[in-house]
Amino acid sequence: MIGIEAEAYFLPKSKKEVHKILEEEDIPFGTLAKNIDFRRDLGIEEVHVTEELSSKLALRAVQQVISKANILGSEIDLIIDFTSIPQDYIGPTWSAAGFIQKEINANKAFCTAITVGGCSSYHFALEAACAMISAEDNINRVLLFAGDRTPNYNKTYYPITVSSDGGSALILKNKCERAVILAIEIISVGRLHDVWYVPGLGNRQNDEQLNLEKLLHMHCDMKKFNDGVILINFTMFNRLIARVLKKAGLKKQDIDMFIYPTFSTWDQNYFCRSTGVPREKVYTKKLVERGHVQESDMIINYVDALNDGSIKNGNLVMVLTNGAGFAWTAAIIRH
Amino acid sequence: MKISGTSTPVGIVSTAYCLPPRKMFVRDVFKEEGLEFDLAIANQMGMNHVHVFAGKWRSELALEAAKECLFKAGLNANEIDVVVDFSVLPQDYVVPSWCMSNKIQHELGAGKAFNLGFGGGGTTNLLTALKFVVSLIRTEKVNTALLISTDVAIPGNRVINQDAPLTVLGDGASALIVSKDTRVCEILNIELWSDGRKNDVLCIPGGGLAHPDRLDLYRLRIGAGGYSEESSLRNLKSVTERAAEKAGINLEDVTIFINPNISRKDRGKLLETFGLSGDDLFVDNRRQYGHIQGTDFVINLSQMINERSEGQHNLAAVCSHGWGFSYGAMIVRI
Repeated sequence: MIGIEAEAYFLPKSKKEVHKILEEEDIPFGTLAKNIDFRRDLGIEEVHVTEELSSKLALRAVQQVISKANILGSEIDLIIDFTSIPQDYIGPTWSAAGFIQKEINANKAFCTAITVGGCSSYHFALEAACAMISAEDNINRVLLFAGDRTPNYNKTYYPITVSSDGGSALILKNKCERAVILAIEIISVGRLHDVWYVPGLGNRQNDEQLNLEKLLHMHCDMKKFNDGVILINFTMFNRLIARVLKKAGLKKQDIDMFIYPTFSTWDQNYFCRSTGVPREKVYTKKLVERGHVQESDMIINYVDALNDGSIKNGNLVMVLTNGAGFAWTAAIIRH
Repeated sequence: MKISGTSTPVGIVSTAYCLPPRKMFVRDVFKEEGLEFDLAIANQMGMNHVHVFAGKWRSELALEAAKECLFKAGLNANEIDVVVDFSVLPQDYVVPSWCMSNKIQHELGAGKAFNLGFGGGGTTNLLTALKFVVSLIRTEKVNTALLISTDVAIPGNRVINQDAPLTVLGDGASALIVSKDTRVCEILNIELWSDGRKNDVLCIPGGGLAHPDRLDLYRLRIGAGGYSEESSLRNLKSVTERAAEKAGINLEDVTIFINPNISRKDRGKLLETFGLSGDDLFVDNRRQYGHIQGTDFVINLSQMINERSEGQHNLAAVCSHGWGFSYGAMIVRI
């Protein structure tokens, strides 16, 4: 039995109005397919922004989660960074895991990073941690964390969402009866590997005139997005839900709460309509004031749902998302 | 043999590597980077030339390695359950937003696999990936895993470091297939440990959030102030001893020590620290290829697998010090 001992997040205090971001980033007006108007149907009014490095955002979340779990860093056996966007230094050469280890004195831990894009990195990290806890006698407590800061003028992931900066963390523990992980399901679709991507300095054409926005910002191949992702997105979600429920031996109606990314109002409406999940069972209350915090959405929304009583002890919670790269992933947790 | 509480044997059933055809003499690499190449450096490195990739997509090398690895294992792509990337250097696009294993899954047609990568640990990424897939196999979540990597040096950044060279980078890619119920190259135990104080010793400082526009810092460097060869190798020996102990053997039972082809000096220091005598087993690999990150392990492991005698098994330790940050040791029966 592996459970979540504690979870926490950190969002910087400073906020920015989304209409200003959309103006600054020259986001188009008008209607997309299925009468979706990105600006009209976004549902986000402001997001958290900071100039701090993503590792520092992660550290604040980690410090909180350690405090909540009432443990010392030295009690952690494994640290997994599941950040899904570019960090302080270039990956996969560097990740923030070692920095976190140093800051919390997790002296006996091993550090690594899951290098897979998109919000699904949360589930990949969960899968990795659970596998290692199950197979290894000396891995009993695992810290998972993420820290995200998007570059200025790259807050909008058109036509999906607008991003907040922030960090999140959770601690998984062997023989923990709280928030027990009942099942994890991952479906990867590799042909969509380059729908969302950051080119990086390695793809520069000219050393003299660096176009940093072009090189360091997240790009979306709109044709691949429309022809590839949108066409199959909700088919994949339905397949995913069926598979993870089967793994856990449950039915859809058994699930008390769905934790889903806070991308946008239009996306959430489509999710509910296409999967048959009742709107009141999808926790999205903070969309308007926060927007999307990458893979941390899964933890942040879980924490908020706990704090306002939307998730109660004994509830069955499905945490699910899609993630650039592309993957559809879910976990069922008995809180 | 009961290992780590399970009797499921897990092994490396095939290995492959792919090197780009173009070669460059190490002395010419030094010249191109405006550095002196004297006898002392030549002796320290023990490298003649490196392979140099000239294409656009470095993942192409990994794809070739993966195809060969599948062929050697006699497997179809649709028998792969998980694809894991263990690369170290920058990829086709910026990691972690992009992950090569997705592209490889697609190109191979490994439709049922799920895909991810492990990063941040230098050459120890391979041992991390192996630990993950062994855990998945032993907990019966998957049967067969494909591990892949590709590493291509940043142009003008093959000599690491330029002021006091530690190694010279070659380009290349590799793949391994790990499967259950096999005693071929059986993995007995993997031990990992990190020293977070050294987290930024191996680093490319420019191009990330810290220094987005510093093209001059878009270079791999080993932070000389943070790296100590002696303490790194001492720590590595401790990790390797623990790995051996947990595998139920003594370090003295291990007859082959496989480490990355960093330099002749590094190999010599490893042998000295571990109290070993004998030949430098991988001298030819280092001479021909330089240091290709985790692919070094695959090249050296392949050599040992090819050289084994029928019916005779040796215990090997695959050891990585991750430049003092990320340590790993795997005990494997070859």
